Amino acid sequence: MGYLNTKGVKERTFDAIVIGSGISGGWAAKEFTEKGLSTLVLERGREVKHLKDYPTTNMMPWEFEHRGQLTADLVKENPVVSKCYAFREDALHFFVKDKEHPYVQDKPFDWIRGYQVGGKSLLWARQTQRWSDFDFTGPARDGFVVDWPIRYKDIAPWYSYVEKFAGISGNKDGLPQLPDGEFLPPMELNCVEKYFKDKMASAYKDRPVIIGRAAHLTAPQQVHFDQGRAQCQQRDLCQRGCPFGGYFSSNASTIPWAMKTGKLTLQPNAVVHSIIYDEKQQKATGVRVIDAITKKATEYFAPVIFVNAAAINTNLILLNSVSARFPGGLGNDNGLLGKYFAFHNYRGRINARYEGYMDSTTEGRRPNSGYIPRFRNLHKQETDFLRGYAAGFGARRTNLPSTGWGEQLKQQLDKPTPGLWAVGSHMMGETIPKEKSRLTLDPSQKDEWGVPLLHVDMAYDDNDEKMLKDYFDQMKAMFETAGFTDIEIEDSKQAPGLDIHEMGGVRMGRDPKTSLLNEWNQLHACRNVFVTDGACMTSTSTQNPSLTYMALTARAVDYAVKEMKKGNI
Amino acid sequence: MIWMGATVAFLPSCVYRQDQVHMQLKHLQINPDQEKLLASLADEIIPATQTPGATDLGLHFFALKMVDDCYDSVGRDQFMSGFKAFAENRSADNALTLEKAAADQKMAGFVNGYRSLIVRGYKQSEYYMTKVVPYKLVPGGYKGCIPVTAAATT
Repeated sequence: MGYLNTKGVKERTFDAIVIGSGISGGWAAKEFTEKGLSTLVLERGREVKHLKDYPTTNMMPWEFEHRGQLTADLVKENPVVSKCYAFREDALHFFVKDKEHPYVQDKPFDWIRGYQVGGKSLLWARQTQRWSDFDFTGPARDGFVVDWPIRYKDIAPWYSYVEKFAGISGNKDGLPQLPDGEFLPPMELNCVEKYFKDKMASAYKDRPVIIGRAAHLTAPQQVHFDQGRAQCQQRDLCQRGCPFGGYFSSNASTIPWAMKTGKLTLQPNAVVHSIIYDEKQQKATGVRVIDAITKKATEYFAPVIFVNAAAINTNLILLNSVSARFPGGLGNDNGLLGKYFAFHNYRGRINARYEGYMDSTTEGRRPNSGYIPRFRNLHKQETDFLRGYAAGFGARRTNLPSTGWGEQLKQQLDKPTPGLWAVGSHMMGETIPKEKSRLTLDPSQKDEWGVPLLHVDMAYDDNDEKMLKDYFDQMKAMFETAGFTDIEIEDSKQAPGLDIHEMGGVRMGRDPKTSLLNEWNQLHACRNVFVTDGACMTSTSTQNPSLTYMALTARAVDYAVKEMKKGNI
Repeated sequence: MIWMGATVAFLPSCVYRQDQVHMQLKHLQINPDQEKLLASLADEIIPATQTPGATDLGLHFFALKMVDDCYDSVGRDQFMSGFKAFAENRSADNALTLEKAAADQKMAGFVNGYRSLIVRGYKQSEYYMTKVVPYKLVPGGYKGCIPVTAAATT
């Protein structure tokens, strides 16, 4: 890896600059370098090398001082990130602590961040469901935001392209709302999950229960061995970084792959302040970078720039890239930059017990769960709210709680008695992006790198509340149909953001008057700048979005390089 | 005594003396008598039999560590006041068992909290996770439906 000297402009000039090394930035790096372009990847966080920088990966549970639990001091100092399910003693080092990068919550918003090489690709939940035309045509059909400028057929080959390389396990379920992909063998539903699947298939015509499609190497192919990755061992300790490369991350896959081309320069601790716009050339020429540690400013140059800083920081960089031509932020001729920001509604949970399959249990662990694709308002509008929700579903055999004291207690602990099955589901609701849901820059306060503090202003709306209620009603009925007992619903009341599916602000669209990016993720008003992370999303769908970012990125790089060869960029 | 390895992490660097407690705590004030009582209560919860009990595994240190680091100040105060109430009652009535104390409103919080910390420490001790219900760092797979009788590990 070449660490940069900052002497000459020539040494600071590349064929392409990629801002961010997370799940989409890693893909941009891989695609550009494979096509022979010298590529600078700027990462605001520290270096995290695959294997070498996973300090907890092989620790046993008893080796953690608090057995995984957060200390009271950590919780007190980190009211935001400590709400994240994966912010535990074994993965603390991969999360941004609240004080490290402050922001302003005009309304409650939990901004969960991973500033390091690989970004949140080390920490993601690895669910990789394709979108379908039910999603891409949603806004046009239901009359919200603007029409997506692409359809499923435009992205389908790119889904295949990224799936083959990343390695996606899944079952070919033949569902139009959740198209099949290039799957490695699926993980297994357990007996109670299969039972629920069968019950739902007989009780409803439109509520399939499937095993989640997940970015795990259940049967690695040559292309995965070539990346230095091996079969997923189902440790279910993914948030620590995987010593087998069993799940897809930038660190295990795209970054080392790009590095092998000899074309990648990876610069950690590089906070991008803004993109430089040249009035004469009428295009972006480079980026201003603040060294995260020394605070020294440096400029880097390239004919094409990909912004993959993760949805919120991508908005922040563009809003902060002001020039005489773009006083309101780069590409922001219509004033929509930072607006129509959205997320997924993850508030609904339901738990119950099942007194069946008492002679059966499971063995081992499974870094995945069951999945119920969206069934609400799928083919036509049928409720008093727009869109719908997908749901996770899982079952596990529990042990009877231990009772008593002394030898009696010890005997129970030493020989646990299997109890009922615990079953549960959580909601993944589509939310409707709104103009008033927005990101803005603070007029005076700046962070320690001289970048304005970000304001986040968004909340759940009436549509979200109605959808939540419907999820509870429907799932409760489904659980009752299956004979589950002790059904308990829970509204976590969590703030937007904790879903970690923030999207939008730099949306794609056909019309420069109503969108920021065209069908190739290219800024309408500044054609050599592309946005292919969550910021580009026009609507949110219900599916976990990372796979779509990967596919959009590979597709956009392919287009950008062709345009460069034609002299259009 | 291979299971003793589990306790090492919790032992302080200081040498044990009659007038000193066994570990350094940030918040809790525990005197040697109180420590002795907590140790004996831990063994009343999980006694040594043919196999190690709570104090063999250092579980009273684990419990104190958790209260000291992971409870907030309100939780720590409740733990200590419940413990002190128990200690007083116990010195007045040596036959006071934890089970009996669990029915008393003043002591229940402490008794149940301490019990669950000792149980948790036991189930997450190296001894338990290697010798009793082995934990596999690398399970290698998942079986979604096997007879209960065939299940070897969790």
